[in-house]
Amino acid sequence: MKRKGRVLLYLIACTVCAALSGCGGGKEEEIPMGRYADREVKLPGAGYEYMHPCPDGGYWLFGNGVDLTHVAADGTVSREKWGWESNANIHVKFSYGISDEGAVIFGYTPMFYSDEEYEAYAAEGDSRYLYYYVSETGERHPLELYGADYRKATNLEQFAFAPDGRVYAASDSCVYRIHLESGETESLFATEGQVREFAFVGDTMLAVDGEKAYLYDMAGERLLADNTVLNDFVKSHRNGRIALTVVGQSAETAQEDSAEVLYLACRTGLYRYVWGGSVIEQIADGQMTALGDSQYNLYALQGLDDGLFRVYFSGNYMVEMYYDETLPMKPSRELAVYSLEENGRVRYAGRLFQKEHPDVLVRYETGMDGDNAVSREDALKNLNTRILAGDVPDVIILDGMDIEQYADKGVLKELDGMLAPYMEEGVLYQSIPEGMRMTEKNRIFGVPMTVELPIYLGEKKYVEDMQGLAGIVSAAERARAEHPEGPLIDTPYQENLFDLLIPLCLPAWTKEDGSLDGDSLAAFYQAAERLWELDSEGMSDEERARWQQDVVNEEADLSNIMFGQYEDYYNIGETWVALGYLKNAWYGVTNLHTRMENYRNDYSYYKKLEDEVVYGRMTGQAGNIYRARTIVGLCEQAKEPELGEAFLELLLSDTMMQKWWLEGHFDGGLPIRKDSFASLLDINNLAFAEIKGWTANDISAIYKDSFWPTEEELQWLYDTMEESDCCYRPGTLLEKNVREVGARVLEGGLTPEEGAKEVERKMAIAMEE
Amino acid sequence: MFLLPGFSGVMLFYLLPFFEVVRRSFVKSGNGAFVGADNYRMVFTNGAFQLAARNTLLYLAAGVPLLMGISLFLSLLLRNLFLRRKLVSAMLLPMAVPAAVMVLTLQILSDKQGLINGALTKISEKITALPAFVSIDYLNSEWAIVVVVCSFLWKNTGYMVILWLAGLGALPKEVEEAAQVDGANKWQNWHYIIRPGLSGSFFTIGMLSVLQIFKSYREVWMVAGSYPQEQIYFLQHLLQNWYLKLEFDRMAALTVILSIVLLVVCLLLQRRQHF
Repeated sequence: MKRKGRVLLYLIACTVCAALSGCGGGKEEEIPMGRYADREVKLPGAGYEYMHPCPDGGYWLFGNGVDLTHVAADGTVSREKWGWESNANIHVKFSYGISDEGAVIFGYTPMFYSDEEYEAYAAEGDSRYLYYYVSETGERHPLELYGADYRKATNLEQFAFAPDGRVYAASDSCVYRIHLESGETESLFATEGQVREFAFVGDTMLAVDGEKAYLYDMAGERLLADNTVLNDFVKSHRNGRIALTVVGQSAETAQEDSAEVLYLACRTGLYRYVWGGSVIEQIADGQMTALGDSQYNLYALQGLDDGLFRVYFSGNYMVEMYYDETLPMKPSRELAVYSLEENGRVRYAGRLFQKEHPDVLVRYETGMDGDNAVSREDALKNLNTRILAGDVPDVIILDGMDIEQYADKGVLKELDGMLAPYMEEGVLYQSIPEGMRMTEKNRIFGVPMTVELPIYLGEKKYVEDMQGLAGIVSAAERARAEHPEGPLIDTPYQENLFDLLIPLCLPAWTKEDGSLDGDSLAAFYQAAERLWELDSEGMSDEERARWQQDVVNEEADLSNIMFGQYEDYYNIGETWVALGYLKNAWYGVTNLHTRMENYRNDYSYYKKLEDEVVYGRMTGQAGNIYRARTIVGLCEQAKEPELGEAFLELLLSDTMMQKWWLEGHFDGGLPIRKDSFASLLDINNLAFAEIKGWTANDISAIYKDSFWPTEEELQWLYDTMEESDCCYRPGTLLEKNVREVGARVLEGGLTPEEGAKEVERKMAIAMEE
Repeated sequence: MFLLPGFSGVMLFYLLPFFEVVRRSFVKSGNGAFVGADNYRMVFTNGAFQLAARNTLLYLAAGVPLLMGISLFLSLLLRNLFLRRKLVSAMLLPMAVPAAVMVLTLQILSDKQGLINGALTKISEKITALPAFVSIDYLNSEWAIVVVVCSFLWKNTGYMVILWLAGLGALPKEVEEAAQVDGANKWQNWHYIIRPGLSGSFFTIGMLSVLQIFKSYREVWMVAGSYPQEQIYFLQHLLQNWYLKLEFDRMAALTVILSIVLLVVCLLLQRRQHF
């Protein structure tokens, strides 16, 4: 017995030794090559919302306010001018379906020319959803849909033309067949949710909703048995849309009993399913292609010859996916990027980085990705667990985190050395990274990619030379004296008021020794309470509740300031003292002139208003603050420190700073690179015109008017950037407590002084910790 | 050999991680440098720890005896009652209440505009001889610990009653009947027969009550957040906040201290198996 035990132990020891020594692995492994990559497809214009792939390799593009456009397989573009819609009383189009030949069916809302007309229309009940049909030859007529199981004006969100010409449509609970001539709408089968995609394989229609794949025999007119393979796939990808395309018999599929092949694209990748088979195989990884880019929603997939695919996304973005044999099948290195919340700029930079470094996989993870409903606190705990276990990301986006804490604990790397060339050469607005110095070491551990500047805007008689919290309160008092009714500032919720004021004051509440300045905090609460009082004097609780209902989301950030916004509110009387944060350069300093739409729409009264309105830097208790966005830090224990640095360099590059804007993300903050910022405010930057779909001729027309910032105004903006040296960093415990207690102060439960004491008490424990 | 799978599991999932925690309690988080007993010293001199330890002890001192006493009293009352089973089932209901509902209930009751304040205001209005009642935000006042203890009792009493009833059920009836025949009164019956007979249950119920106290942190956190009123700031708050602040070294030291304290409590209860 003893001997047996010894033999067993000996065998186990040998196995362990063999495993650890890498027995049999003497030959260096070859890296398997080849994977799908993608390249952007230049579309023939802007404004498209829908793409219909044709079997011949061409495709149709359509949308609200744009021509029906056909792009042939060879790239030839042809447009069908419509423009008759207003005569047919079609106001807004939505939910499109296009046949291979170019027949179109769509939903629309009509135009109302008077309140009476609208009320009469609304009195008919839920009849907002009207439909229209235009044949490939241009004949057109409204569709008066009716049917035994069809309720009038059901919202049909999805249309599809079958290869035999019949039209199918889906509501959120049913799939119908529509007879275009008569409008008769037959209910075919019930669905669990809104069918988002149709595909046709022979006589079988495949309809996919968020939970299930439905197979319908169009010849036999019956629902077929479930396909468990497809069902399982749909269920496991229920969080995002799945796009489908069927590729007929080809040289590739000929070997497989002439079966047709269904391709399925979703966020996790591109998949291939041989019709009737038992396996769905992945052929492209979403993370390594545009499919995984969460800033775009997948709209349509087209299979082409030679294994090419076109994928159409929201935002009128299209890519062509191709198989590249020169790329390693799996990148040999990995760059781990982490942020608490999804950050489009970082996602975009990740894709650019991956293109530049094909041997690197950029793994971008978010702690609170929306699908998993993780709270901020839990996400931070998860991150800390990873740090504790040594699983540290290479790059960490510090928005919403207590940066100082991570810096203090040695998680973050000092960036002074890396930023030195940028600072010495004056590439960046120096005050901004300088404002990020922290900890006893007084070093920079994170650098923001963009900032937002606090601005006030209003009539001279109220806001001229407004300084500090007292200045804001005085301005509000003056405005209230003249306008006793209605709101004063754009703050339907208390949270909105704190969103405006806390960044201006937070850095001033901590003394040099780290203790809390209770007097400053009490003064802050006094100002906030008075502003809330003044705002509330102009409306009843019911009126405020109605206002809040319009905003819906209490957590929505309403602090974006725009001249247009002020003008709108000015007209409808919702604000007299506009306070906010300038988040984009294109809409201008205060958007005095920079909106091209102003010119296009001939909104010349914006210019008139400018004479009565002044603007300036909004200040509170702290100095010249800025709100930092996309604060990037590198981890001290990063596995790929060089890649992390290269990624930060890419984020700081002029290309990236501008590119993100050119992708249409105009509220992303003001770039901290001087050249990028100046370029974005340059009227000669034709790239802006291109993304808005204008020609160079249209741009030149803008010179005819003075709706662009003057040199003086631009200089004011540059100077304001230069002066911004005090960073407001959200996500601190102090802010959380100030907000929590602040709600009680505004409700009258605590006086400002009691509120300050309550925060002190809460912070005392935190400081003791 | 048959112990090996179980022992491996315990080693892998309990003992080895615990040894790792012990190791970490002697090193600095971040660079991993050995710091001796510095982390322990920092824990003991930390103001937040002193506050949390004091509050936790107070909570234990108030909660455990009250829970054990009330549940024992109720079980003695219910012991011979005809509707005992139904009543006990009803008393278990608070245990089935989800934490979120419990939190909501606590807020509805203890808020400044809550039911308790409403009722007391009405009473003071009706009885004019009483001074006018001023509403209190109980969870943000010195009453917070009372609210927490009451909610703890409400949630756990039913369960403890069942445990006591099980202990009582195991006592031989004949002994009590013989004592009654010999003329023993109720007090003597309790003192000489029931009380010694329940000694075995005392350890189990005592230990479970202590553990329930630690488990009730979830509701407190959900009601009052990471930084509640001073009196209901417990050791778990401290641990959780240190975790968020990446104070892993101090956290490890505190975990070791807590483990030792719990071990001592366990041993003491085991030694005093009669009451």
